[in-house]
Amino acid sequence: MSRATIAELKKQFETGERSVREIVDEYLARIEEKNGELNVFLTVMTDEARKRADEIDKDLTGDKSLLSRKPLLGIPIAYKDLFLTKGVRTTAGSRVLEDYTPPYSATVVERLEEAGAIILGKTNQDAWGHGASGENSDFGPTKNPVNPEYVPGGSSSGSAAAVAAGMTSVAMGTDTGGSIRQPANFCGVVGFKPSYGRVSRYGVVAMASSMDSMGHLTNSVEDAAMVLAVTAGEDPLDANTKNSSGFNPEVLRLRHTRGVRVGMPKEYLTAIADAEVRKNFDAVVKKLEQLGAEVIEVSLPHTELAIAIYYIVQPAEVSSNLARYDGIRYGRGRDAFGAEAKRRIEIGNYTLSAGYYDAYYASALKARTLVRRDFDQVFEKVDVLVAPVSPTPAFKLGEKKDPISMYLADILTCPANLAGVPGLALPTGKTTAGVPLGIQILGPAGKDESVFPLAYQLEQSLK
Amino acid sequence: MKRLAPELEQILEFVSRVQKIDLAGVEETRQITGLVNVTREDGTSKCLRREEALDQARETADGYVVVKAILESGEEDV
Repeated sequence: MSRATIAELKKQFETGERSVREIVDEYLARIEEKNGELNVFLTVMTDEARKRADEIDKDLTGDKSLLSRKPLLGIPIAYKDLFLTKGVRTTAGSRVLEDYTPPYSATVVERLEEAGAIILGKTNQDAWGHGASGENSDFGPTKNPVNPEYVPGGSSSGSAAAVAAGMTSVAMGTDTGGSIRQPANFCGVVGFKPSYGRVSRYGVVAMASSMDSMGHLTNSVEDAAMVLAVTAGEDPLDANTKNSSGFNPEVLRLRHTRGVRVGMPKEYLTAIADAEVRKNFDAVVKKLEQLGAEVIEVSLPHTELAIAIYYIVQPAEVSSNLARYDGIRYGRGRDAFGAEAKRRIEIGNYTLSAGYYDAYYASALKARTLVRRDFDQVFEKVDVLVAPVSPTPAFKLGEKKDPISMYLADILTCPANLAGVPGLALPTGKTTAGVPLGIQILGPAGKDESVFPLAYQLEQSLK
Repeated sequence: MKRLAPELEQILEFVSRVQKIDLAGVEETRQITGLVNVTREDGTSKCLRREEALDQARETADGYVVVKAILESGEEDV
């Protein structure tokens, strides 16, 4: 049961086969057993989780119908350490916030708590969300549970690893340039990045505000839909969620895949740098065709440019967002920033400075329009896109040394953030060395519903 | 900074490819929701108590956050 889905856990609570306390204790025991080696959790809330589990068990003895009213009742959850959790240390993976205890919780945290989820703790991550390997944490690198010689991906490194290692059932993450989909891909779990503006950013440490998307890592597509049903929707505290609708998780069974038009962007395929990634992708396309989807080659001509645009827009927004960490009202001073944060602050300040603004930042904003147009045009022809998540499977710790090679790890994920479209990463196989392989399904902006039925059918067919 | 300088140069060189394409007449994308002037009702709402808001500051005095002086002493008369 180490990788139990939400439905499986709830069934055990329903039948009384296992109590919530027993399940929570099981997860806590796995954290205890594996955290020393994998460095997944920065904070574990053992006592609070047990207490909450006992309360829920007590409530359930009188009234099992609570399970149908509270969609995530008793489900263990972990938060990337960017999500503010009232009264619980929130570090952003950085020494700057090493001893910061926020006085309020993120909207998403409050909604999940209201839905009945039990917080087990806070997960490790690349500091401030800056990284694609999990190695850039001020609290040491997280290791990939599949094989600890490999990175788990990043920046939601601990969240992906926690789900993969059975240390939680659900974990929240953030995706600004691929930080949910890529670690999900490297660890072999489902990772969902919602459309920009679908889920509230309030109370989550900001990285690049025009792209930050709050999503999650789960054991199944159905779980991803169930969590989105809780997190999606308007929040007065995040103006960008205005008009965001709720999400009906039934969508994954209501719609069928026959006749769905699936685009395969040729520029993404050219970027593949590994034979096993290619082979697995081709097998997935065959599978989709067997499921009745119509797979056609399409073009997103500005894909290659996207990574350059992203590494102008994102550090510009980072430099602006990190300016608030002055160590006066909370946290430590600016001397506590690590090298990668400093690098991005410098790049941002440079590209936003008067003499270089037009050459870099303004050009990037214009080029971003071209990337968006690519997506708009292609979604006139197809319902969804299918593509690899990363040019290679997980790499080994210490393998990527210079910043640019690490930045290039975002090459197939960051275009979705520039355009604000939703994306779901699904595990679809393993390399001969046993490292996970997978694909991502992208849909039109605001139409998160579009990616779920196909992902669900594909997942079922691969079982 | 010694280590950063050559890296920054490489990164700027890498991203400068955005300057090499024709962007004449292309509008800027500054945000993607297209929302304009989202406002809330004018009214009061729950907020942090003063003690909560000050709780994480390194140093406080009389309900204020203590910050470093930015003016030298003796400049008060200026």
